Amino acid sequence: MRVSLLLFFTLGIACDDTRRDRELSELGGEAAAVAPGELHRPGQPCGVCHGGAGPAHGRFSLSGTVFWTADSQAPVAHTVVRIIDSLGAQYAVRSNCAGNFFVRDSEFEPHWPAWVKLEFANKTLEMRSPISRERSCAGCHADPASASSVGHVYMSADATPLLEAECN
Amino acid sequence: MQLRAPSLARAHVSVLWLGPALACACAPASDDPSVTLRSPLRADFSAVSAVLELRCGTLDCHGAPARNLRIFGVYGLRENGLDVSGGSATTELEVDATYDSVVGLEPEVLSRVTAQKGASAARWIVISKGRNLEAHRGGARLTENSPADICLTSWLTGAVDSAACAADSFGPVPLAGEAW
Ligand code: HEC
Ligand code: HEC
Repeated sequence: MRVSLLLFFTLGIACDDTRRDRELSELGGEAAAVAPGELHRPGQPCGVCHGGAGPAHGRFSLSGTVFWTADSQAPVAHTVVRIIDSLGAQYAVRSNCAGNFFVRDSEFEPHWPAWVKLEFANKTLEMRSPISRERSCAGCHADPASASSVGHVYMSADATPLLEAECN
Repeated sequence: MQLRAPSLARAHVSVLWLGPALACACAPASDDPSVTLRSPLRADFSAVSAVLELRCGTLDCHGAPARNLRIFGVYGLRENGLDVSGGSATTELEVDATYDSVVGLEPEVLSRVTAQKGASAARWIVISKGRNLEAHRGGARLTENSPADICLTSWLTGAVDSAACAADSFGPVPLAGEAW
């Protein structure tokens, strides 16, 4: 009995590991000119690496990237990402020049489910459904949009993305 | 040598097929092994489905194709493979698909609950998990006696409480004095 339970457990871990390895390899290496840091890997599910199991050190409770429109890969900086959890606790974070934002778990850990909305230049865009547990926006918002994915997070069709010069 | 393997395989298959066929041929008609189970009605399910979609059906929970309980709709998994998540509204075919998945969970228990007009509904896994009476990774999504819980359990009684289904609101609730 103990042996079979152990086997079951080991197989379970092996499966998880394989899945993780596959997820990691699908994300590929770092882009040439971008060092690992807050501007890297826009649009990717940050939580795969920043989820506590490595390879990154920090653990993000929520993270993602905001693009300009549904069809554009241009990032929008200075978007305010507001989060409210099921106990009513709120937290806000700003997207950076890569459109990336992240919340460290030491700063805020939502009590699931959580809801989010974006604010930029007097425009608000609310996500109607809750996030039940997925810590990377791209876990559901991966490109391309499909029967099981929403497509990347974007701010607005009419908000103008900030020029690089304005972004610092 | 190369021929032997396929012919062995074929022999194996025919024994597999022959076994049940012989058993059927010999069995008297009264030994029909099929059982009839009762399910709550599909006709009443749309309002219930709308509640389940938001509370349980997000892509990171029961809106994922690999789950036993699969909930389809605009906030999660699309049924026809063409619509995109977050796109057009939930279709009746998606409500059908969610219904099939829901009534397929512990159908023998659901049948008893349905036959007894919803009595002791927490015997059924969808209620016990939803209320978090049984360990549930998603926690309590349908707290006992909340409008959402009343909506779902009323469906098991045979008379959906549409007012409760409509009264269910699932969204941000800021702390007192705060705005969202
Ligand atoms: C494929 C793995 C991977 C993905 C995906 C990834 N990172 Fe990283 N990240 C790393 C590694 C490795 C480092 C360097 C080690 C470290 O400093 O933790 C790093 C470093 C960082 C750092 C600096 C370290 C810190 O904690 O301050 C930030 C900030 C960061 N990443 C943000 C992000 C954001 C935001 C995303 C998603 C848009 C993301 N990363 C996606 C692997 C990844
Ligand atoms: C569990 C899956 C999931 C996760 C995780 C998720 N989203 Fe969403 N998001 C959706 C779905 C489904 C929609 C479309 C329906 C809706 O509005 O709820 C959506 C819609 C949105 C919208 C509204 C888009 C529009 O055109 O109205 C915004 C903004 C958004 N998400 C931002 C985010 C951000 C920011 C994050 C990460 C902090 C995130 N989402 C994480 C599933 C998810």
